[in-house]
Amino acid sequence: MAASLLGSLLFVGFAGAAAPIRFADFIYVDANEGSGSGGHVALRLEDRTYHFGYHEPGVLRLDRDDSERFVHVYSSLENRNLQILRVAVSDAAFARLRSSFNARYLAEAEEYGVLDALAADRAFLEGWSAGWPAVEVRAAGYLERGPPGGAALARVRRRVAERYGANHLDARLAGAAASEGALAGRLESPVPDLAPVGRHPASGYGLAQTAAEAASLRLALSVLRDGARLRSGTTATIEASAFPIDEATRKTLRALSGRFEGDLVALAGSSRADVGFAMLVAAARLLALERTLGTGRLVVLDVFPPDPIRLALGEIDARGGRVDDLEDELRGELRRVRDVLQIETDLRESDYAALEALAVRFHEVQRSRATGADLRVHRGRLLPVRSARVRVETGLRPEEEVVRQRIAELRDRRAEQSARLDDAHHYNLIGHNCVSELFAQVERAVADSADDASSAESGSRTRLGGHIPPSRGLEFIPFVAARSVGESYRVDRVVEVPSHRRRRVEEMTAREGPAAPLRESNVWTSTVYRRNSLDSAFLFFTDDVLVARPLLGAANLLYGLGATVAGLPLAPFDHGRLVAAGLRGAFWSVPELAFVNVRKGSFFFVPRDPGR
Amino acid sequence: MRFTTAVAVCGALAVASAGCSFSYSSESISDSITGSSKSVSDSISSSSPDGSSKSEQAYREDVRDYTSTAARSGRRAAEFEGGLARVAEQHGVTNWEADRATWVGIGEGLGRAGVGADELRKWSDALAHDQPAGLPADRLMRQGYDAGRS
Repeated sequence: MAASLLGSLLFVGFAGAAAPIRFADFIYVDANEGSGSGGHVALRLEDRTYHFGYHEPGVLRLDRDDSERFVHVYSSLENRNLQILRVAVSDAAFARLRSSFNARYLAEAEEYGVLDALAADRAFLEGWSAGWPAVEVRAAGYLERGPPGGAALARVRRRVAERYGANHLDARLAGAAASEGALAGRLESPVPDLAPVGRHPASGYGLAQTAAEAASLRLALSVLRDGARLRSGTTATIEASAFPIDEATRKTLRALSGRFEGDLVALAGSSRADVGFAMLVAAARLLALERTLGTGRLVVLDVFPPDPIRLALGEIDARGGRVDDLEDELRGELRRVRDVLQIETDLRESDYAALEALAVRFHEVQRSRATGADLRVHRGRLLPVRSARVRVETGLRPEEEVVRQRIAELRDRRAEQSARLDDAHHYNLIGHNCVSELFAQVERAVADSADDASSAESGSRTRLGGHIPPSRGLEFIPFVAARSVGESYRVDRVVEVPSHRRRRVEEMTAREGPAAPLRESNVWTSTVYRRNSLDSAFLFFTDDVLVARPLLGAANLLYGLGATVAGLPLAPFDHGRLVAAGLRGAFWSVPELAFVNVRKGSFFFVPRDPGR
Repeated sequence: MRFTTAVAVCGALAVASAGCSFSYSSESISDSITGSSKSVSDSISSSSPDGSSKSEQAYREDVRDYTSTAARSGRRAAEFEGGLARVAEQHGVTNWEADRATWVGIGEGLGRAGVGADELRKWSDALAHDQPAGLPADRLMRQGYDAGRS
């Protein structure tokens, strides 16, 4: 506390010297069973939160989340308490931190992308040598040959002819075919060496990508020249009550349709390499919008990828969730977006993409409810990438010997890249974990000079008020690290964010009196918590009691052991779930006997902002 | 003291049992069903004095940082396009040529990387010339470049 107070006093002096003040928030997430049971740490830089997470197979990578999402996931869904230590920094120091973390995040995505690119090159070459050079053309799966009618695409065709000349599409198609035919020439060049990890890497050999771009352009130009229609089963139609299209909304959607038309005309003259994909997406969206305006119901492309996670409705129930809640959440957001569309008439492509993804998610929940089918789920951004496998018109078949050589090179480069990445990002509990790597990245960001290791300490003292070396003592443990931040950095204030359950119980206690905490103290009578099959078997919540914790822990221990025994005869039927839950329940009860709480329960779903 | 030690030991044991948080833990799957906690309506609405939305600002920042790193590592403009397209896709942008934020972001990144006026012209010639989308790409790059240097 004294250190915090001292930090605040120092900050006053600092603030007077260097004008704009911002905050770099060090977030300590306390323990719960499940992943990160020892706690977790993150750096919040306004609307973006950076943290290092464990990825298969045993590597530590920088994750980036929207800050509201981060707090929602850890504090509400994972039901953990957060402590936010607000470190006062200058505008310049803030910019350094944000750029440094952001650049690393983008660079890591590229480095791992090289692995996929090299694998795609190899698969393409193997197919080619077998006489079937084919690639997945993204977004081609939405379209099929259709009548050249369709007013919107016809208008595009006419405008392209007016702008570039009547033979433009034919000429470009010939060029695309020539690009495919020239692929064999690429094989004369060996696969290049890889750039060191941590630098911007070259994108590998790029053969499959070049082939896909050429094939994609050929298909896209054919769509413009010959016409196309949406393939059956590739769209989602939203019920009118969820997204009513009145005159104001119609006006915005019409403007958007005009924009996609204009985009297609411009793209027909673009020389960028990936133009085919952008054209296919714009054409498919244009057709979906045409159908929307024609039917008065929102029609969007089904943007789920071909291999989504599939979640059975029964599993949602077992995890304490209700499909109704999910549908309500999505329905509410869809209405809010509709309201925004009545005011914001000039939408960007990404705005439409966000609407498209939201609408498809809503439709998916409704579809699953109506049919009982598994719910498709995708983590991350949904993009209209439904692909079609397309043969590439390579013309010549390459020489066997050359192909063998290139395949061997590609295999070697991929193994080399994989080993380099494993080496650079390997996870190690003590020396290289989510805490040590966060401090290391902070150190890099604020160092006076990237080439001088000794400048890290001086830079950190100047910009953050103190220095915490990445691997010092017990600071690899999240709560120890949080204490060090409080003692070392220029912490202006500390904000506590209680877990979802604690927040709700506090609200109920204020409203109902002492009966509420009693009722909410156990899983049987709690109205906040619904049994979640991912949680271990336990009876009492112990995170908000201290004196009685060992006693309640003993009850939890017995309950866990009881569940284990009861689960033995059920094991053939429930795949040993109850036994596993009982054993975990007993395990996480042991710290409670020594006054330490880890387990807090978790929630399948918590409304984002119930007040809205 | 004994109590503190016990807490520390138990804490360390807890860490040892599971280590760092999994990226995308299964506890947060409902967040993936509903499409993250980020509100789509908020992200679309204009929120800054210059009229740009949150999503546009986030995209421009990524383009800026990507460009800055690429320019510092000596990447050529032609190689740069593929990576730029991947960054754009992560923001729901496939037609990056037609987005003003792309050009401003590239300019800002070059400014931050400290490239000179001649180098800026080379990048502009390679990427921004003859833009069929009708945007004044080179002027937007210049505008971003000046902002990035200041």
